[in-house]
Amino acid sequence: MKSKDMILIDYENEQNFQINDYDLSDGLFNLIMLKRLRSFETPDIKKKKISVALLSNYTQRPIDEFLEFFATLQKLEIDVFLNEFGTLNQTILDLDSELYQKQFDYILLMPDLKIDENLFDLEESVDNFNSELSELISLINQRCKKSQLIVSNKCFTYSDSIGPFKNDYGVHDTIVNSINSCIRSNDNFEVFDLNYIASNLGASFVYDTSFQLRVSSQFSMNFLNVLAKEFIHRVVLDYQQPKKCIVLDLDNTLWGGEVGDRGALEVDLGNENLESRAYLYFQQFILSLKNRGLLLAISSKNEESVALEVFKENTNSILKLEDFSAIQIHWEPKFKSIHAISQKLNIGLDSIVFIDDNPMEIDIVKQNLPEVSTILLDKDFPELHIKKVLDSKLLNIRLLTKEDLQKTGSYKAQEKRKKLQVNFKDMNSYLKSLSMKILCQEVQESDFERASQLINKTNQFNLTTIRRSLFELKDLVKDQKFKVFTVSLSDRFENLGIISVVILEIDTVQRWARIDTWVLSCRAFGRMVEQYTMNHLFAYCSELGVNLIKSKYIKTEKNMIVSDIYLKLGFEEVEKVNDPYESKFFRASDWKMLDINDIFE
Amino acid sequence: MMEKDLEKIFKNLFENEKFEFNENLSAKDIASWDSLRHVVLLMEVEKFFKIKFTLKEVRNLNNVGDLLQAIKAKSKS
Repeated sequence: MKSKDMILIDYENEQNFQINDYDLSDGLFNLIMLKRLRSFETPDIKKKKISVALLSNYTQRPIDEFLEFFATLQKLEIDVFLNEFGTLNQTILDLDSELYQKQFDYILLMPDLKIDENLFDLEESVDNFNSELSELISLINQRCKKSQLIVSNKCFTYSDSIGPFKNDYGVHDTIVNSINSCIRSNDNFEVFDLNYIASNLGASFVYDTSFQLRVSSQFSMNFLNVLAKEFIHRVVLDYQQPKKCIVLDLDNTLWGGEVGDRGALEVDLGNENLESRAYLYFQQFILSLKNRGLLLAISSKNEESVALEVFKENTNSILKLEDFSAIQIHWEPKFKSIHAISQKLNIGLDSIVFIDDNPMEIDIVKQNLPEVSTILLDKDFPELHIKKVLDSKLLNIRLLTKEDLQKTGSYKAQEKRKKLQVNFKDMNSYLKSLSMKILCQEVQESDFERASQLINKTNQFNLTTIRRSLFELKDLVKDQKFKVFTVSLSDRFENLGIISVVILEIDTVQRWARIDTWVLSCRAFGRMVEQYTMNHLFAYCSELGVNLIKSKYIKTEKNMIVSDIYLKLGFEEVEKVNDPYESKFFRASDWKMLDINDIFE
Repeated sequence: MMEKDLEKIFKNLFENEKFEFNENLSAKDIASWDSLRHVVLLMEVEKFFKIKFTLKEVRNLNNVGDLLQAIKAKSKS
């Protein structure tokens, strides 16, 4: 393996660039290599095209570049869609979003896996989480019928302050376990087990607070890189033949040393020394692959009778002759052996993995049988044999899930899908199926705190972004000129509580009202709460004899989503003001009640 | 030397882009130098020169001149 830092500076002078010579777990390095790969484009190779939508509330860039990097290495052309920061729910709920305009081959959903960490109620918190997730999933599933949905689970966190000595699972472990088993129990999608990957790599790899803070990411850049790598390996499984057979070399692969020189009982295999133990472990590993259902075969350049003695005479050999389905031991070139094995076992060359410690043999096989996958072992480091095989990812498989059955057209699954279609033909019927209950009323004293919290924390659906402390809010309520309304919402899954606050200034003499503040929690986007609330305000104003409602949108970095909300609610824009805040002013008079299709109960 | 190393980092990171490497070079001169690439650039610089920028510096290092100055200051200490 070559030093990456050296390459970074000196690659201009490198002529024969071989990407496979490098360790690819360094994200920075890969970003630079991607540019090189792009310039090496070979247009004559016809590449398989795939498209991926990655949905999340965090910044996932530059994962799009990592995806392209690993896809290119696998000879795939990839198109990646990432939603804007913090717009996971909106992207899924918005019928016009790019997610639905294009039909992506894969949708990778990385949901917000935070739950209310109120321990007394862990079960309920997990239930809430689950129903919210199911809602998103069912929306995606009904609108993206051709996409494969993959959902990531929760990684262990960094913040468990208790340390490793405890009698029971810590709080964090319990939460991670509950959420992950809840995700695992869902059969409408495939699980991307981030926790498994993260556990293998360790917290110091997965998290990088500098990077996370600088770009609002959830993970370190290197972890994003690994996720891209794993994801592409998963995608590849859909286009490649699953591997059925492993063709193994003998000397320095299944045992140490040459059997022809040393004799069957003298090769390194067993418990005598470190080398022999390394080969023993490798044999155990190969046997476990056979037990998983893979066929084993031998391709070795040796005297057959001498080589086979190891399996017959050396009791340290865990692998026995009968474990191999085909045996080719002679001095002919190995590509001929492999060809013969493929014919004997009646399997395609593309379902064969050839493992050898001799780079020349590997090279000759590659030249003559490009369909065969190969793994090169290093005979000086037999302790790394297992890792080399695992890292190749060639033997990864997908476990069949119900989702697969659905894709392959199982009758039952189709039946289930039809049912979903009937239930959710459109947004309205979906919303109706939620059995939502809504209530808009003047703020109650017990709700002051929640109302103030919403006013101060809401960034996206916030028309004016005027922050108010609890005390200011209390003063405002006492003021006759102002009315503060709260909106609460519940559905058949959960009670969302207060999700919106409106502060209305009213002049009953001049007969106008002004919407001073309007915030709505992003959890309640896309549920026609806006329309309902506005109807309530219309009715309230009409009752007071007010016939003009003024309103205003003050632009911030985060509230673009509501820049036109008043137009949608029947207001008209009054004047273009070129103030530095890019505010927009609206008014409504002679309002008509907005149609909310009876979606609330 | 330091300038040469930094220039190479720029050439690696913004390959296929046309720009002239000088003190005034900033994000507006290179199309792909966006906020994310800025963070990546600083990570690369941190790694290569074995220094660490503070969050404030991340925000304020706007052109090559700033960057060189910061690297010089940091490498001394």
